[in-house]
Amino acid sequence: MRKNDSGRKKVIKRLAEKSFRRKLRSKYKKKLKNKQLLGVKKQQRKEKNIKQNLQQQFIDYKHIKAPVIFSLTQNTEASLAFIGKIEECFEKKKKVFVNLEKVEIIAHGAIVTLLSIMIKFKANKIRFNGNFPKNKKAEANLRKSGFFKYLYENDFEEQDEYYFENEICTHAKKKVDSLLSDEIIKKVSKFIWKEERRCTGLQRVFIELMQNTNNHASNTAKGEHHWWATTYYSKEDNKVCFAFIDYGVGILKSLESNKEGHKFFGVIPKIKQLFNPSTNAEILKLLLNGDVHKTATGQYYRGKGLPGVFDACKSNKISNLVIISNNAIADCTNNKYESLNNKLNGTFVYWELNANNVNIK
Amino acid sequence: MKIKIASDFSRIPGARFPEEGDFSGQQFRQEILLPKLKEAIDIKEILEIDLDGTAGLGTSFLEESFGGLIRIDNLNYQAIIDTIKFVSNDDPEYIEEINNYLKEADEKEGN
Repeated sequence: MRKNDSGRKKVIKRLAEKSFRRKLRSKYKKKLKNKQLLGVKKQQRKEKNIKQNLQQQFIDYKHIKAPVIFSLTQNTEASLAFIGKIEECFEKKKKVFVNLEKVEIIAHGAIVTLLSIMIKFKANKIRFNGNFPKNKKAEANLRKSGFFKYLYENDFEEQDEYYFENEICTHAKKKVDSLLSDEIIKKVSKFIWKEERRCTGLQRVFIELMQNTNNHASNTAKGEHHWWATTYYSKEDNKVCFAFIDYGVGILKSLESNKEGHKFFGVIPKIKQLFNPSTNAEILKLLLNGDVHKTATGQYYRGKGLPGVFDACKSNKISNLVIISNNAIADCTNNKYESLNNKLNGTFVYWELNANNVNIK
Repeated sequence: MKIKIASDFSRIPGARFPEEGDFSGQQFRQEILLPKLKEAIDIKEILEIDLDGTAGLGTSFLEESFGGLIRIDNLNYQAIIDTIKFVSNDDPEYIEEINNYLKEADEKEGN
């Protein structure tokens, strides 16, 4: 009995010492933390705490900060760099935490880009998370997009179609759906002209882009990638903004195939020989003008889609057309073609429809 | 003889091939355009093709429908342009576009 008593006492003593040491360590850490926060305002302290909590909660995630202006047309390079970092994690199957805290402007095209990336992560069972922008307008825009419909879904399964109907309306499919684009046009024409009208040029733009994704987004098979299209109604300007994205190989990259027998095998050397372009931006210009397929691919009857989209802009059937593909950007309205430092693995197209665009009653 | 795409085929024509989506150019050519055109050529009648009333026509739909007549069905360019008459009040540019597709196919295929 005595022996047991002394044994228990020893255990209690050891535990008490251990607890004391733990308390001392905790006190020391707290002291250190308080020292770091000396002179820091209450609001800043709060922010720091939130940041630390997030870091701890998502400790094994790669934290990627979004640019203040997250827009592929207004802040192209920074937005592409941000998307590129996320893509890199996707390739390496790394979990991602998207930090949108500092975002003040988030464009609808950027939202659909983020949305499509998130679906890619979810479909491949790679963890994807993020926070809200502090800016109220940016936060509201993100919420309206339906971004959170899938973000917190745990048993997510990849689908052929996605649909988010809200103030910002988004669709994703793999095939050409002329009925869907017709429905979209009915709605947007009612918004702009207060009655349903036909916009044959806009219908053509949709068909060409959907078909481009279906045919060329993959170098190996047709209909492998989703296209994503989003429609945003701008009440202030009485216009509708559209963004279309696919995460395929991208228009320019698809031409670079060096596999014999591939539809675009040997096209780049031919383009260089015929037109001597010095940058990808110049190749994009040639593609939009329809010069490449006419002369370089040997498939004279194909490749009319992008020139068709470009012509729709030239003949005022749509406005403000911007195309980003790989490391080139075309601002078609202003006839500006530039090479980019950052690249997009795919194709992004933005355009608008307003009351002055061609329509049929 | 007359074909009105919007009522005889679809108000929402789609892409080039059926596997790309509904109401393709190939389907239109095989099921509607080619039989009527052959008949019109045989009986030496004009075939009026009315392009109005659709939601819009894609480049691939038009190229596959009309360029395909020469490229795939081996029809003679002159016989086609002597027989077909287009109506396109919605978008008069479609007519020039189709004529270009026909010319291009004739130049490349040379039937």
